[in-house]
Amino acid sequence: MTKGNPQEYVKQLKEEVNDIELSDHELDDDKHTELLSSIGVNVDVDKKHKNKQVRTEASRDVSVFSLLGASGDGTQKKVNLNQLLKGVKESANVNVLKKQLSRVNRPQRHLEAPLPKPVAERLQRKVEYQKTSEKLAKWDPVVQSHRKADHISFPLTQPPLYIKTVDKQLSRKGKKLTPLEEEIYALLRGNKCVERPDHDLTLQEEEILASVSLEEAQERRAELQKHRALMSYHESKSKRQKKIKSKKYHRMLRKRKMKEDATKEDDDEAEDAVKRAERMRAEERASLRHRTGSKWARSRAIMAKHDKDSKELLNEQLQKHRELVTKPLPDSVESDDGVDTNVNANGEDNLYSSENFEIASSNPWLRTNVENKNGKQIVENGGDPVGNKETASDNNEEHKMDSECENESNLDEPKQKLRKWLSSEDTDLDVSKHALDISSSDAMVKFKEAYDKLQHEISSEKKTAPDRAENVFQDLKEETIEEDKEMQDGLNEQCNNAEYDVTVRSQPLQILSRSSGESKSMKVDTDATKSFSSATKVSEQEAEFVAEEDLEMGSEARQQMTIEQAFADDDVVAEFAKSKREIVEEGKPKVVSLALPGWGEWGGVGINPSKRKRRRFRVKPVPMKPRLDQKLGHVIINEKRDVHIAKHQVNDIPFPYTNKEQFERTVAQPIGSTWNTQSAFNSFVKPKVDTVMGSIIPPMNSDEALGELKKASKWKEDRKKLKRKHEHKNKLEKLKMFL
Amino acid sequence: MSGEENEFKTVKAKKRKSTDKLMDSMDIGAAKRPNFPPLSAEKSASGQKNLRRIPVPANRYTPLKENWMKLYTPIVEHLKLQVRFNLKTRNVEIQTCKETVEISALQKAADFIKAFVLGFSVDDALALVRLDDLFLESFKVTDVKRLKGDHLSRAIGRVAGSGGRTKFTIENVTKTRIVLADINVHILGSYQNIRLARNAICNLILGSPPSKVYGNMRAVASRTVEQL
Repeated sequence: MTKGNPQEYVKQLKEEVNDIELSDHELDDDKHTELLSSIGVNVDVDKKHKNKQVRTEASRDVSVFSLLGASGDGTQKKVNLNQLLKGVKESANVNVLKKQLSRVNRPQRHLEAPLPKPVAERLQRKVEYQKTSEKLAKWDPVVQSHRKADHISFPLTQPPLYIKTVDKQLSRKGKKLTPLEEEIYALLRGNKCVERPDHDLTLQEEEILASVSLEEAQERRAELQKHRALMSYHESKSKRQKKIKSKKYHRMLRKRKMKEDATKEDDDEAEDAVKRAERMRAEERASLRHRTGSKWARSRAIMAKHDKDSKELLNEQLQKHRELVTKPLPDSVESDDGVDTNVNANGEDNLYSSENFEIASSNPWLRTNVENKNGKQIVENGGDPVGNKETASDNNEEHKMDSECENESNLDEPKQKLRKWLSSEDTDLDVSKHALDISSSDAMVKFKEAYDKLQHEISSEKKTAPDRAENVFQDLKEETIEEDKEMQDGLNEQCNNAEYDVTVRSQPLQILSRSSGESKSMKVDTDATKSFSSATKVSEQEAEFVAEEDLEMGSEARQQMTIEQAFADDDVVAEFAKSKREIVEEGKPKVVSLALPGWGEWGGVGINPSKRKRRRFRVKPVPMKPRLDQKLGHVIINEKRDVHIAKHQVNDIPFPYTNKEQFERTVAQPIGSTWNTQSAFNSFVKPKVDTVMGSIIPPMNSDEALGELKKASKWKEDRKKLKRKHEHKNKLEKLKMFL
Repeated sequence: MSGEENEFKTVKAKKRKSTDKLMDSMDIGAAKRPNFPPLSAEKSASGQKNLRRIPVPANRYTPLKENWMKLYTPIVEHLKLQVRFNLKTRNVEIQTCKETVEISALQKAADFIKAFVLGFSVDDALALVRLDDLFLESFKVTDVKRLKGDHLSRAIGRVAGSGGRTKFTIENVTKTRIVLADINVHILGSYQNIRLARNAICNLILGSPPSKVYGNMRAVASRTVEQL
């Protein structure tokens, strides 16, 4: 102890001190553990879980000594007698106790009473059931696969079919070959051209391969391939051409060929062609083939009244006749003609190039404005000259303005602008002013001034007389018209553009007046349909905004018109009501008179059966049940729907189809053998289960059925493996490439 | 000469279309011709109203009523006649009126109704209105040979054949329609065909076996076809 490390020494010392301190406790602990072990309680476990808080539950078997208590794991441990006996070593009557114990410990000699029969049977059944279900479970996949299969043919295992080959025939044992057979055998064996089972190529092929170099062979192959491809292209093309039934096409083809020939060959041949053409012309002139006299033509002529096509056909024929008969003119005349037509075309272009015009006429938004411009506008009453006048004057302005300002007038511009205007919250006069501000020409400025003046007047005197406004505009008009006339000639083309802008400019005013009218109508109108048609887009708020300023500006008629224009398509409710009324009328049973004319009284062209008679034979229709939608204003219920047919109809288009037509086409496709190929038909009508006639269908052999499944799964695995292999290979190749 | 020169170009015809010209000239010609429309039926009858009565036996009353509209419409609309069924006298009465175009329409209509009353179907009878060269012929079995009792029945049976087969065959071969009502035989067809059918029926009544009659009829029919 004295020797050694001082640190160690210190450590030892410390330990000793600890020992001394703990000695009393240790002693106690040891005794305690001994006691515990003697009782049979596992000390280690106990120590481990000493500090563990155990949640106890109220249970029936609670003992004072907690001998029956649950151990930490929750597994109960019974105390053996032997364990208890360890503590009784030094007692005096051990032997007696031993004897007693041995008696107690002796294994039971008597048999347990058998379980009551039903219980035993139940147990047995349970066990049996488990075993059988386990056994049967392995059939589940087989059954599933059979159920899922589109087609099964019984017997499931059919004897394998194979063709007996010569080799196998020859290899039969114990039989002598006939001389012929021997000869054939020798020939087959000795020949170079015979396929060998273990090689891909025959001997001869191998020899050929060896004799030709790879490059040469490739070249030759490529050449042959190309040749073959060309051949096939040509073949397919000519086949296709031959198949075309159109006479016109063939005629054209012939002509083209003729043309080519003519270009290729020398002049003589061309002359020949001309001669041929001349001959054709002469023949045409001599014959009546394409005239109106033929039977076909006459029948067409009769049909022409009813049938447009026949008329066209007739015309075509006549045209053809004319073509054939006309003498080919020299080139100069032709070219003249061509120029003429060109000029015509240009003229037409000029006339119709202004697509704006057409659109304007088709577009209800623009139509009225066009009319305005043309002066077709109905004469207004005194209350409302403003909008119209404005438009007119504005129009004149535009003619000038357009020379300077942008020509790009989008077709939808007016509409869009109006929409914007409608949607904007602050529908003041400012907006309309803004709309007017677009251009920067002198005329425009003038116009603006005039407009401002008008506005000022409106705002200063609350009740502006319409006459006044009219005056202003008349002044303005006079001013502008002079300038206008100068420009007008040069600007005819841009007229259409101008119209659009005019529309834009006139729109705000119209709308102002309209909205004022609206605010009135809102209060009065309670009819559902009308409010539906008019209320939606121009909100009440807007109407109130503007109402004060332009009560004077509009009149009812004008407003009504503009509203109708703006929401021409929106009168849905009335339309619906109308259509419903029609349907209801159609469904009502009608009164029928069964009176026979001429039965008992004279009947003829002008004579109707007498009233008395008609009334007598009138059949009153049986009153129908009230319609289901009679009391529902906004619903039409189709009562004719046939439930029995509806059963076979679909609500939605089934999965692979994207539209109705596709689906209908497939459904309409007949599945009969008359309209399908035999194989397709067979596949359509193939029964789910198929049996081979006369063959015994044995129950499934477990080995085979399960083996097949295994095989299938194995095949799948193999495929996976192969795939993996392939991928790996690819990766490697890529890597190589990369390197 | 190049290919383009060789090509044929259409030149607008400078002449007037010959067809139009033809049509015009024809119109003019038609207009210049004197126009004498045919006399109306009423005028040609010198103002008198012509009337035909066809009696309807009791056994045809119901079929007449059922088919009345089918009978009425062609008579009124096609032939422009007035017609009534007199309930008291059980007669179908047909008369001309202002609208009637042809005087012959009256006879046609009368034949039409008559044929229906005899037992022909409406469609067959309508052929009388449509075609001019169709006739009705009626005779009795007893006219051909005086037969009585079972002999008469057998004769009628021979004409009809089992299930009406013989009658149908005769109808088909001779292109006629035959009604066999008890001892009455009515034949509807063209003159030649009626003669053929009548011959066949007479032979049957006289007792020749149907097979023989067929043979004869076939031969005669083919001969007539060849003649035509």
